[in-house]
Amino acid sequence: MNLHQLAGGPFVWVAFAVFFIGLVVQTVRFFKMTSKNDAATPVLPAKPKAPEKIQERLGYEWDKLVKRYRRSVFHLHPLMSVATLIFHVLLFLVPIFLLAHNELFRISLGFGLPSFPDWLSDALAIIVLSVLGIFLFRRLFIKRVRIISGVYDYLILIITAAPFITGVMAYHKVFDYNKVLTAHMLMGELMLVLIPFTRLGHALFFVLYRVLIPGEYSFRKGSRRWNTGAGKVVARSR
Amino acid sequence: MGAEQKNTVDQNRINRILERQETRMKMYLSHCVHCSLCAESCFLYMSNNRDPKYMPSYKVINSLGKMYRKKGKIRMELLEDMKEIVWKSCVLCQRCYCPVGVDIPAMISLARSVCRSQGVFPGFDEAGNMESWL
Repeated sequence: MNLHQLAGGPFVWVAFAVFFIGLVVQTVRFFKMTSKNDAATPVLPAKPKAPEKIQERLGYEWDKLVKRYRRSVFHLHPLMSVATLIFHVLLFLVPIFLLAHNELFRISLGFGLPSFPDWLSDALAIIVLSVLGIFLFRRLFIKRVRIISGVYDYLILIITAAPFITGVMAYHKVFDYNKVLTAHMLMGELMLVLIPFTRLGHALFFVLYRVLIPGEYSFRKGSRRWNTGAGKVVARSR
Repeated sequence: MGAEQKNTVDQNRINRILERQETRMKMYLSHCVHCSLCAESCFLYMSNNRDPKYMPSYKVINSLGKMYRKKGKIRMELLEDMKEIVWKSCVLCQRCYCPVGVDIPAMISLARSVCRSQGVFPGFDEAGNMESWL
């Protein structure tokens, strides 16, 4: 079995297994380090009642939206916020709804998801790469980002970009198709394996931290709190 | 430096403090994507001409981050370098915003505990320190 066959065969299943088991392990770890938040919810002053007339209600809701926007990071950094949002959504959508991926699933599992047309996937992959270009530009040329950037940050960018670069190259048949395709599969598998255990894990922990842990910026009220310590000793023995 | 400042550090004590919250803190350090979007949420960053050294992420990376990177083997000089960061560049107002949800104040607070355990904290008698206590 050569590298191409390995990358397209057993490695795929190993990568998916590590990815899914890793996510489960990390989630269980999080839940072991936290417990149900039974602290009393502070009683907040009652919010003013929304107007009932449709015209006034529309104005009221619009004001609320504008206030929320002005307080958000979207107002402070519109380009970065929109680029980041689009990037993260596409990072999931493009590989999941790619026609070639779903064809391979149909061949091996007998089912696949509906897919984007190839031209759309190609365009979306190029958008993903363009946003990665923005991230790289920020790391290299904006002082406040450069000052906190290390080798690991650049490596994470490369690992994220690699499956998309090789994917676009394979689609456009740049260089030796088989070699590029092998590289594409290996890079995709590497990324899957690394997601649960590296900085890429923020994909999972973003949800856990901001939805489950209560805080000023959490999306919900938060139902978990960190156990006292939440360190080695606590995680091991209690 | 506190009046009773020692010249050597108690490695075991530092390790005990760091181990207390090791898993959680290492998770936070690992999940900080170094995006710098936390910067504007810090009033000290805003009121110091947007000096990146006042960014919450910079403060965490260069205090608690360094402590864990060095696996607790910290020299007094390093703690002295961190003193400014954890005691003066942050007032623990807890208003820092992290898009990922990293609890930055908890990390600075732990770094302060390590510094305090080794007598590294601002003293009343320190030159230029008066206004920060009044």
